[in-house]
Amino acid sequence: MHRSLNQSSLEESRIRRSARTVCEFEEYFSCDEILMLSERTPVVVSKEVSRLGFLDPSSDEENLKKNTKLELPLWLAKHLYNMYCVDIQLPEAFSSYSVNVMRADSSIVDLKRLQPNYYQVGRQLMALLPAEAQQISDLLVTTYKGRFRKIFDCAQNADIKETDKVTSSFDNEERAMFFEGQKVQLDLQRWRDRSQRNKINTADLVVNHRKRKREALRETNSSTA
Amino acid sequence: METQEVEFIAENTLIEIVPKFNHAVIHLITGDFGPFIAGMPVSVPLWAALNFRQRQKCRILPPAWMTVEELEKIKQEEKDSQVFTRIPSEHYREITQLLLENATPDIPRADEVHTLVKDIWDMRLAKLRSSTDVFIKSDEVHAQVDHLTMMELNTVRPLLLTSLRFVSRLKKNPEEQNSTINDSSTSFSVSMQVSDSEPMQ
Repeated sequence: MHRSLNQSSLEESRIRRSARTVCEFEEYFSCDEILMLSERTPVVVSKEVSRLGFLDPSSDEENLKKNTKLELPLWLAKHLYNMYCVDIQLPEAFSSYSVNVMRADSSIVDLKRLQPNYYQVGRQLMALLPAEAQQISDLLVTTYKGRFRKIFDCAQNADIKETDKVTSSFDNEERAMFFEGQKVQLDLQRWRDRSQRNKINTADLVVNHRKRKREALRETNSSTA
Repeated sequence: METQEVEFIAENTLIEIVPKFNHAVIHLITGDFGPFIAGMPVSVPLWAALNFRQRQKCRILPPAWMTVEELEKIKQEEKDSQVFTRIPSEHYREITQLLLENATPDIPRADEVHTLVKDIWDMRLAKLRSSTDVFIKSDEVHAQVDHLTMMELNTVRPLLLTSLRFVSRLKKNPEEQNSTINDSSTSFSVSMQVSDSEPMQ
């Protein structure tokens, strides 16, 4: 009975897996994304794979044995997973231990050390593991909500000189947000001190719009000529 | 939006001046101003007032709220209230800054005015920060905040919007990630009007 239950759940996950498409890049040319995809991901080999033995440095075999535990870059793990060769395990940052830590107080966690691309990797895992997706998503949201106040406060108060100290525990995406928040603060400061009396710049949208218009005009002119 | 642009918008506020010259009515896009008779108070846009003041052509009458007593009152109200109180001018910060910079002699007790305005600003920003945090922490998709001024909104806009977008992206199921509808589920609306509804906090 127990076995048949297991079997059916296995079948179910197979079906679900085959229905899923390969998790695509969010942005193909983004360097951040390429770096993110090289994060280590723990996997367990689910069937014997021929001629991939070199992936396991501890063995000299030609083939990759079943049930071998490995740490592969996310991009490789992803593709092997889609070929039903490996099962992806949750990295340490998403383990139940981390979940408890994040629930308690996520603002003191050093995300940079734990997983420099925490949210992005989380999103990739969400796409790869539909069974755990909800749980990961909840974890990510909880984590971010706990850390938002810190990011926001730091962005509004931190001096530009001590930025490195402040952002050292931020994940890469959080860091981008921090700088966005700080840009406003610096702008306000510049305005208040009148240290740099800058002109009002034309919005990018308007500049591009004009260019496009001119190009369109030129095209119509040449076609009529 | 940049701070400079907010200031530019603020310069359209009308302000009373006492001209030191005679001139007929001036026709501007925003309306007709004048006639200017030496010694007779007349209201003009702030940018024009500052221009006249720089050329020593007029004396600026500070707005009614720009007195130490009035500002003390606002500050006390702001301190006592949990929510944002109504500020007499939508651009109090910018107007104070511009007037103090160009027409300090026309404002009685200018230094105290400056300190008070800054106090009010700091207090309101602290409130704004904590209520933004509450908003993000709650799962609400809509919040109403009254009486915020343009400059205050401008300081939280970028970070708040990216954060909301970020959270909604984390919440999404992978299947929906490819859909073209983005971030429409979360909205943050801020109304400037007086209303009876309970603001967040």
